[in-house]
Amino acid sequence: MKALILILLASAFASPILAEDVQYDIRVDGITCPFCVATSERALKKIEGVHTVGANLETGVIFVCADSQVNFTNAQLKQLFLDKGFTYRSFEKTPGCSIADHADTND
Amino acid sequence: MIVISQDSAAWKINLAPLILAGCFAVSMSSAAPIATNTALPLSAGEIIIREQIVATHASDSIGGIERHVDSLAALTVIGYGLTSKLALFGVLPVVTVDRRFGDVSASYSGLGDALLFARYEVFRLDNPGRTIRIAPFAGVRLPTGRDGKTGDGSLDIFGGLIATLASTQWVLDSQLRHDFNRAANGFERGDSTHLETSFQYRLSPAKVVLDTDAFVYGVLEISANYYERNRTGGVIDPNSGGFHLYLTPGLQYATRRWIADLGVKLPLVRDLNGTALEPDYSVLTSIRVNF
Repeated sequence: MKALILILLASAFASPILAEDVQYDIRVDGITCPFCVATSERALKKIEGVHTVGANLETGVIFVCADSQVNFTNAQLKQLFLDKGFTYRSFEKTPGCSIADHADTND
Repeated sequence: MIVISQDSAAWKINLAPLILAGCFAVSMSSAAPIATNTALPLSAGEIIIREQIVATHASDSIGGIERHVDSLAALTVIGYGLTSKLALFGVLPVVTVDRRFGDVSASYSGLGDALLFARYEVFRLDNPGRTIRIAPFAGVRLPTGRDGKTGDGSLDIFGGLIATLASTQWVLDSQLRHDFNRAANGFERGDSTHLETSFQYRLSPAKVVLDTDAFVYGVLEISANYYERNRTGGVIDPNSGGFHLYLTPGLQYATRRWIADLGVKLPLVRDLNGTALEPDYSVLTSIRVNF
């Protein structure tokens, strides 16, 4: 019985670690206004596992917070932004999600 | 005393530019000019709808008799991104016109001449927060209005080129357009050429941060328009054609989902031929939403 309780407790604490979010910082050129970025944000949010999308228009970076199971590829992102009328350049994937940290990066 | 009946060619010739001027006072894509077009993209599969109201007043005096024309046009613009480079547009105007010449007055309302056109992006240079786009466009004006009242009755074609330079701080749109007008029912409006430039400057917020979701732009637009003379029954009308130069100051509020704007189109130069009626001013307001 004790073993079962320990296993259940371990599972309860382990789950959030396994499901830790990742952040994609996607560099996209040519986006100049909130109206312009909105369609790209909506397209990204439709992808299963994507939680949050934000953008820094000045630096041309779109931030995506997603489940760790989400794995973007260059080809996928290139086509997504091509359809939106913008130019995809590159992405960086980092563990954890810190979109709010980027709020003032354009000073 | 000068007498002009409600079906007079003088009314017909002078009236239509006031109505049709509004049809092109529509920017159909993602960014911000009020009375000019833009080359900024419409995403593949995206639909944008713009409702624009254009109120125009014109008045003058012939032989001591006052002449007034007030028009109110409601323009519904629908744009669809077939691909990220090719966008299709339709413009459907509904027009109300009140005219008075001395003691003679008349009012008309109904559908105006609809527009269908396509725009294709031929050049794009993107950088972080900046872009340069060039896109030619071409289309037709359909005789959906009431001939001589809310429309010309002819099937006309038009085309031109749009260039846009955009950053997060400002946007510059410039458009050159030529209208090739055809004859219908004995009347042929003269061809016209239009050069329009719009400058939009972000007034607020001063700094763009992650959660910035709305811009306020100050807008200044200038429009030069040259009209050739009309023909009625093959005869050139001396009281038609000429040159207009307009200045349109305005404001615009752009969010992630919708854009609202307001501008006043003021004539700087009105050099029309003969007794052609010259517009005094137009008030333009619109809201556009993307889906």
